[in-house]
Amino acid sequence: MKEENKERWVLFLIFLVVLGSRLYFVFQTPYFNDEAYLDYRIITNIAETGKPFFYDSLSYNGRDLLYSPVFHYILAFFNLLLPLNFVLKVIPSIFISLLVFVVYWLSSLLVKEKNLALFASLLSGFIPIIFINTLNNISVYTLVLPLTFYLLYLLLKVKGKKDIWKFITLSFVLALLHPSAFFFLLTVLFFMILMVSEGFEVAKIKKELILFSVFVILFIEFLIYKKAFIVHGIDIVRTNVPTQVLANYFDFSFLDVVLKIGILLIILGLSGIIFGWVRKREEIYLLGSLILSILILSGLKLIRLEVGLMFLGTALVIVSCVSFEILLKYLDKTRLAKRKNLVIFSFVFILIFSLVLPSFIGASKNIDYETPTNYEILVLNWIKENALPDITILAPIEKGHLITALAGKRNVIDSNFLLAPETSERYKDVNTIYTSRSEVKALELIRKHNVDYILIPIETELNTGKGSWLNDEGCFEGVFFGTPKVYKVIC
Amino acid sequence: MKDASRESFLELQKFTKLYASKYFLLVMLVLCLVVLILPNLLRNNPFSIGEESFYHLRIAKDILSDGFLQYDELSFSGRDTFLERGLSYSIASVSFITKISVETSAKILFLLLGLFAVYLLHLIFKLLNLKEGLFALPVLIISPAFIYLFTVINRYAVSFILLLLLVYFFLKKRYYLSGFFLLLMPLFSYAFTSFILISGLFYFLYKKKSKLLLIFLFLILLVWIFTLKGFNLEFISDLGGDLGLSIFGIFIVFVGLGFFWKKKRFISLYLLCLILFIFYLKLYWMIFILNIPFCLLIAYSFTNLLNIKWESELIKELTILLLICGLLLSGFSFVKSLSDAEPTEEIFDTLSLIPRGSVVLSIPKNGYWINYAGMKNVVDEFVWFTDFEERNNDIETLFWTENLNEVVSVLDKYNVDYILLGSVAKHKILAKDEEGILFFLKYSDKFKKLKEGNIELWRYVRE
Repeated sequence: MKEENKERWVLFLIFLVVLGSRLYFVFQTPYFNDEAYLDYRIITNIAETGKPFFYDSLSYNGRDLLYSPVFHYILAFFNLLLPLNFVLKVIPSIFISLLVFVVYWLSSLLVKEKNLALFASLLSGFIPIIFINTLNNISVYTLVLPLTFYLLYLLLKVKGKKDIWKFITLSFVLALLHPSAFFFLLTVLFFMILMVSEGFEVAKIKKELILFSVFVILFIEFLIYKKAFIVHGIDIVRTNVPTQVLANYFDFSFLDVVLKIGILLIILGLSGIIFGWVRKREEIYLLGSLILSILILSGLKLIRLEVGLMFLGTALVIVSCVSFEILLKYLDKTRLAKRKNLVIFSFVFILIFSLVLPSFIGASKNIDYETPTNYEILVLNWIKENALPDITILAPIEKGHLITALAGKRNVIDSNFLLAPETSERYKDVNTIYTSRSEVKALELIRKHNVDYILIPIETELNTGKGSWLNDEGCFEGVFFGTPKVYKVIC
Repeated sequence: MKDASRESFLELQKFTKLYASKYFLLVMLVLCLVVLILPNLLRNNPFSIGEESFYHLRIAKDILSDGFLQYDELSFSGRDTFLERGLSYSIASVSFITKISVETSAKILFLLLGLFAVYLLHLIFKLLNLKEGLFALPVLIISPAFIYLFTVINRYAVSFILLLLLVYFFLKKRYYLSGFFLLLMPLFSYAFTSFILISGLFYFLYKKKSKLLLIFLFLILLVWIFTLKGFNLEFISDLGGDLGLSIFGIFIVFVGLGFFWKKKRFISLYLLCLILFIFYLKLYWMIFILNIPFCLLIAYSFTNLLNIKWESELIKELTILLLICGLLLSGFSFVKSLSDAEPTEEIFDTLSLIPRGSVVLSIPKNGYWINYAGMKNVVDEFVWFTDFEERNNDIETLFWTENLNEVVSVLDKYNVDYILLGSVAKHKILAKDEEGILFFLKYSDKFKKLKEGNIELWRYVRE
């Protein structure tokens, strides 16, 4: 009992360490990542009116939006008690930090040694791809990731009615939250196929839960995204991404995977799967199915690399426990047994170092480069206050949500592609305007998209230079000359 | 355990009673009526749905005014071949008898055909003693293929009814009557008839136990099928397929496979579905036939899910509820997309700006609508025409060429007076950076814009 309490305290301490680290970075800036500002607008709207919006008059000069507002409602609910900015920075950080508990529980099913499970839970808090990608950007994955793994845990340990109820409710919530519930669906389907092909009996209650979760996910996703499924068909997985972006969007290299997950974790995770597979463990089959589904989807370029790696990283951390356990047993049989503690300490140090350091460096870069600067905010506030209400601002795709959320003006393009009109054409036009040396061509496209202001962030200027046609004072009036530059179209 | 099987038995007995009651058929007919009326009821324009419908409506009108037809002046700017005219004659007859418009007559005819199909299927299921018909009928009625078959005016609806009659009388061992319906079939669809004849041959060989010959012929048929052009890869209606299967249905059928894979009877049904599905990949109308065994498989899987002992009653009830909701969702979202389907009012408003008898150039998809409005087209989807390949290549050239002389020579060759560009055609050109005819329409004085918007109309000014 005393031992159990101690574990709980250590686990809670790990949770606090992970949460503290995240909050340290999150509060380095009062703003959010550029990408987060669409969610910011939706949550603000819910907080003010009680309703989400499904027609965005600012994005793409007006377009339909299709999303599940459950995550936004959850955050807006906390806004009833706490200030919005605080909620949007702290609550997602708490959600994703809960992953340490889930990883602990799942690891406990795999290994008897509780310390190993605690170690895995600590590692899960610092997987670089998760730490960086879910930092300060109001990401729905902060809730989806712990929920998916908790459902896998429930599926493995299901016993009484309480577990069944939890599973039913949470699979419903997961399906409502985000379409990445399809990962769960694919995982359980692969799990069934693997178990049957290996000739293992799956408990009846598990079969029933799997059947239920498959249908609940299918039903809810088709209900919410029916329109997108009809418009885009199976291409919905590519979410209407412009063809020019598509090549980088789904592409990945082994080096990417190594940098974003950590080489040691990959080695230990994969060997954990092999050991578990040889020992024919149900838990490994389930986590292996998750890894398999992610690898297949990534291989077919059906999911974004970052998203796949977040699930993959977590699964690898959990299965790496099996390798740790074997490694420790092996250590006892070698000459190093006398210095076991030193070896373990060095190993743990290297492992933590290989995850924490990239996470912290990435997080720091994330805060520096992917959140708006004070000057950007000043510029956008000026436009909000001084420009006419119904104007369109041309900005690169990454800055699209900033324009709509902070300046409150229309953009030509942003990164929410689902159901957006002519994404490839717009992407090409925006790029042409920024890179063109011809004023005639640029003006033709500026008129085509009714552009009133042109925003040139420093990154764009460094990449493409500033078009000399912007010096034509008869047509373009400079408004801001710092970083970013802003020009008003006057001809 | 004993209690559970007794419970299942009682439940099944209750269902069997319900199936046997006369009210069951009545409920099914009412459900069918509602489902088939909905697409036209929700539609916000008075026009029929689809492209080929307008061909049959136009021919039916011509039959009513001219009697027997020998030459079609509008399709491909004049041809002496027709699509199977059985349907057009049927529509014209209904219109002649009822004295109501051809369009309304067609809608009424298809509604009645749909109701008759449900009645016939009910009789066939009863004859075959299929208790699962209790589930198969409603599943079939809300299936996208059934809704399409009896909502969109098409050649295959009557052929389908004739097939059901043929099967019914064959099962009743009234072979002459069955043969009579087979004889009627070519009036409505040659392809459908050929398929039935080939199936008949296979059935005969199966009965004669000539397995080798059967497999040999089947392989030849398969090879031939795969030499045909095109692939229907959009086979799931929920994923935007025009005419496909319900994704929930597919999942239920796969779940069923888990239960039935050792039972020979079901495996043959799965095999039949697989064969029909392979054919469907090449021949889209095969979906109407595939739909029957597919819905039967859904019904079998569904009955099985109801009857087996579940560990948790809560999950059982929720899963069954989800399955029903899923099938309903597929059906009703298909109804909604049918009601939103083309043609729009805008296309006929645009066509009303053109004098009757003029030659209008557009993509094949718009061909039947152009003819229905009284103009000649250059190409349409009735592609069995001597120089179709040449015409199609010429039109493709127009989309990509950078040479105005080439554009002019093609337009002069087919005496084109007007050019109609819908969203699909424009998209095809825009994909290539405003090349081809769109560039010349914009900058050459040989073209005068008469209408802009989603559908653009241009007049070609001849020198």
